Amino acid sequence: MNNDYLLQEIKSISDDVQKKILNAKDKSELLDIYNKYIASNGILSQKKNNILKSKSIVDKKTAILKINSFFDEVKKCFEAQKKSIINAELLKENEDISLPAFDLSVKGINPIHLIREKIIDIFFGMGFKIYHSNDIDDEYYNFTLMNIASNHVSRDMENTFYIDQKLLLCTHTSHAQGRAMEETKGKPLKIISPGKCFRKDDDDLTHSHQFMQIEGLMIDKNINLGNLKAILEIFVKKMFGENRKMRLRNSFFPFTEPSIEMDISCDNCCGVGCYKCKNTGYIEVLGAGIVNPKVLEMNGYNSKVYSGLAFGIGIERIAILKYGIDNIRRFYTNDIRFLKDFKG
Amino acid sequence: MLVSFNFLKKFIDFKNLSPKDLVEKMDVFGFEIENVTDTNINNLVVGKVINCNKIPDTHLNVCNIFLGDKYGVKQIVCGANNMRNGIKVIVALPGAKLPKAEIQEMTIKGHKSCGMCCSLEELGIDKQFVKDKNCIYEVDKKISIGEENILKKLGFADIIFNVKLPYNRPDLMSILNFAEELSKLFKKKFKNLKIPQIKTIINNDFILKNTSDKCSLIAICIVKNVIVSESSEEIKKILFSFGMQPVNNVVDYANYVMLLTGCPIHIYDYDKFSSKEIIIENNKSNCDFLALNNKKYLLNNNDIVASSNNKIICLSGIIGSLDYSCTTKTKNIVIEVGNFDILAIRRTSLRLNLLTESSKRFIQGIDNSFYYEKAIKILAALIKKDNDNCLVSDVLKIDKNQISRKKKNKISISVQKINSILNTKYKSNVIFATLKRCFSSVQKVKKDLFIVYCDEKRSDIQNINDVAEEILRFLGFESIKNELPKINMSLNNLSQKEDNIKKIKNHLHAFLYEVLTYVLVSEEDSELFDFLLLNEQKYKIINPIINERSCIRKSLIPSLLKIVSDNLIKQNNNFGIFEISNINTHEGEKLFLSVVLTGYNMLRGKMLKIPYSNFYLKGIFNSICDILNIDKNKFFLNKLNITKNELHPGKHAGIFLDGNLIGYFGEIHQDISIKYGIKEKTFVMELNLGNIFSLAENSEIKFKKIPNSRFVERDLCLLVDKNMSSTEVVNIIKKSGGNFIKNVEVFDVYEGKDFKDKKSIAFNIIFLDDAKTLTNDEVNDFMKNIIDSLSKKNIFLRE
Repeated sequence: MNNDYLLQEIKSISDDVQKKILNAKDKSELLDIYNKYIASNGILSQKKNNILKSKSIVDKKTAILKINSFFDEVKKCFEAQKKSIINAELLKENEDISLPAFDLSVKGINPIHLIREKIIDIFFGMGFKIYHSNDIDDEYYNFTLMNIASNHVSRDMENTFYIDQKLLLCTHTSHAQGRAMEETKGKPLKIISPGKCFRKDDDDLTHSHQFMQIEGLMIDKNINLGNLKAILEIFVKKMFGENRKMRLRNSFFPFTEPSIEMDISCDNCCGVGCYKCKNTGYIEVLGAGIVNPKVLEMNGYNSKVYSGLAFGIGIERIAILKYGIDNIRRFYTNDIRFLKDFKG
Repeated sequence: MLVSFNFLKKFIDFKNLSPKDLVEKMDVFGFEIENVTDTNINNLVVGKVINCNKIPDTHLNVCNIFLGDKYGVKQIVCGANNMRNGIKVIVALPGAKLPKAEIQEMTIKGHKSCGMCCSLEELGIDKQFVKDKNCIYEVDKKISIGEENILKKLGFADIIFNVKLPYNRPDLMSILNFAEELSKLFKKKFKNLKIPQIKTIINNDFILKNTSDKCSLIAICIVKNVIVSESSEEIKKILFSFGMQPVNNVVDYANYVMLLTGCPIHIYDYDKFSSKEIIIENNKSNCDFLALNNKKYLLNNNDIVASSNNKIICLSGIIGSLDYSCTTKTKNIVIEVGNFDILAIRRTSLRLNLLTESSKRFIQGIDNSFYYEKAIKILAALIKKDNDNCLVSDVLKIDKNQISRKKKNKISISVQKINSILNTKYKSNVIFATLKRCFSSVQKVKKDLFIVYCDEKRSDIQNINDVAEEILRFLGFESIKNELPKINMSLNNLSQKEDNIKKIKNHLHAFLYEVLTYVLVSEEDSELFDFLLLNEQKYKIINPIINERSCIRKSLIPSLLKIVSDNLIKQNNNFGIFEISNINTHEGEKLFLSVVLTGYNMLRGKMLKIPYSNFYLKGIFNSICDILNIDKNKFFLNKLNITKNELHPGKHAGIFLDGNLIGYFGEIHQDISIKYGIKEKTFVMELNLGNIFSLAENSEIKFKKIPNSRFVERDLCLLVDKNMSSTEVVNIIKKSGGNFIKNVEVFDVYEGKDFKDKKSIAFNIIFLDDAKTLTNDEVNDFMKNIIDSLSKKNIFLRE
């Protein structure tokens, strides 16, 4: 038999198969074609085998090469068509990505906790250790060791919650100063102490019988007002941003001398004066000062060798200023819609 | 303290310093200004009524008023009784902000009205000055038409500062001292009041006794032949600007002198005394006292009183008695000045809810002992000015602290020390000059060393730091050099506890809201959910504000349930909250974590939601163990003895560690749902984190080898007694199945009617030998052992 004729036949079949493949509409049609022609017992394969077995073929080597090239073409065509059919099918499985996602969002945090962490981070970064003190303490630590006179109005039953004659709910975090100094026994220290405080105020828009403070205390040789100013400035910049100006005012606290109060420029009017800052351009932030030598001596420090600085930060106040919260009640109502806005 | 700008100006020449500058600077000097009230009103003009016609059937008049060339003639409708042709009136034009209203142009009964004719009361001037309520103010003829600064002309325009004085400066409760202080701070001239010399002509015929340990000073002076009348307008205006009510000239003078000197003064009617004695005591119990204000008070032996002939004549430091008060009929008076214990006055004042100008001053802590003689002299002179025939006696006094007071406090000041406190580089001469501004007596010892002798009124100056503060007030903060402290370095890390709390919080934030609640709760709430502190006696507040907040909580759960219920009312549903907080106990603080879940866990919004359950809480507990690297098998879950119906008796668990309860979780009982008004299914968990943290201390992560062999798994579906827990079955399987059981997991539970008192549980068992892959035959042998052991316990394969 003529080589050419045989090869011609295979070529025409393979051309035919390629057409069929390209016309196939889905996977099963394609599979049928495969089984009918390409599979080992398919028509094309049979033809190929026939040629291979045939003894009449003159130049077998060239013939096989030729047949294989036909076969490769068919297979290539088949794979290409298979891919395009699969892709077409996948395309049909179109997903509406606008549907709801799984809720993996971080939930809200009461801003008091957020601010507490933020303040701790700032002072921790400056080397202050966290010192924990109880919310209930002896009046000796809360008042006496803080140089608060025995007839001072804050000691009255009208202003402070008492558990018995001596124990009370701390009215500030300053009692931690006495506790920390007692533990440190006259050595240098630098601590911050967060805590809950209680005063006998009726709860309203600006008052809360419970609130949170962070106390700061640093005692060492040569601690001075310039140190305090530098530390507070870092705090203001980190908490409120580089653009906020700070202002110091004279004040009075029994446990610090000199005592100062720190204001920051009003974010609403940038220091020009508006309703928010009561036309002063500044908003009060915290109280601080140089530790009164009397307090150092009372707590076992030699005031001739050591000096200290101290500050007390109202966390609610910072949160109100930082987030523009309208009143202090929000913090203790814990409305989920309110909490939602505050994330870590 | 209220301070009138007009009054201050009598003692200081402020020159070009405006009230606004004053406020700004005072703030920095440490005098906090709580508010500023400007009593002046803009858009007021004096006008003359040129015609006035009644509107029929009303009390109103339509008036034409000439307001001068600038404003011309305006038509105004006015209903005042005394409105008539020819009078001069104060007209508030549209835009004028009166204390109670802003004036606008309007139409009344069809007549246009371009403003309002004002009474003094309408202008915010105290009723004291208003003769007839329904009358408008008739301006004196001398004042010209078109005058716009009428309130200033009448002396009613003033600026009132409400100053919050520092606690350590009670001496500034006197306007004289306050003005002197300001004059020093502002470097302005201080015009001191001249203390008049009074000739004492008559004898002080009183006997004075002081049996009270709460009175350190008492002094009296007698003035005869006084004429009691109405005070001059000037005195009335001053008292008014300080928020005080004029009474009569004598009492008003006494109040005026109190404003000047800060020294409260009491006036008795001399002739009302049946015996000429005054005794200060505090041993009257259960006495009725009729005070000047016409109210009766019940006094006890904590109250300091002045008595005479066994009658209480004055509640010392607070208010006098009505019977001995100075009235228009009074001819002769007794002036009394005293100094009393702050605490005693404060307690009495608060108990009786009686805060007077006098008691306010004592409560702030005045020590008037330094000024009393001055005060009596000024007062006597003022009274004598009204009637030259007055006869003044000498001053009779008992002064306990006379000697100790005379000692002046002496403080040595080194320039170097001041600079080291403030971190400044002030030169010696600057500090010396400033000290001379602050203190009346400063001595130069060396170039860099001074001695300050403190004025007796400045009891707040006790050491060099106090002096440094004064220098700071006078020189400001600008020269202070910002400088971070130079200190030794040391390791600064979070404590294990803080670190653990941080880890847990960060983890929980992914699915729970973190809340903050009050420590104080009601007595009822303090007894709920106290499983973890059952034997703990509760802390009660002895002086609560309200019963709602009278106890320290023993559990966070009631507070959290309150938040859930509040949120449900606000239509916030389906959420979980937590709080980590210390609980105060008699053994110190304990750290609790509490979680409350309500409704559904909205995994994918409303498309995929799973109701919260105890197993969610169990998952939280397990995850906390994981975070802390604690083996959760150390804990044992068991039912609690529920006595107060807090938890669902069937759906809860206590978490035990070595037999001690360290936590619990469960669905809330119906009783609690009703109490808190929670309609959704709600689950609570509370853990004593302290106990859990103690386990974490010794846990360290160690590398474990990962086997190369493959595991073989088998499923087992069993019929089990309904009351049996899955753990019990798992334990039997583990025990009987050999050492190669790696894991036994429940994958299905079914309770149907067809099983009666049984339930079906399906387990998946994983066998793994680290050394080699187990063969089927080997595993079949293990399974046979397991099934045999189970059948001995009456557990059989489900058919």
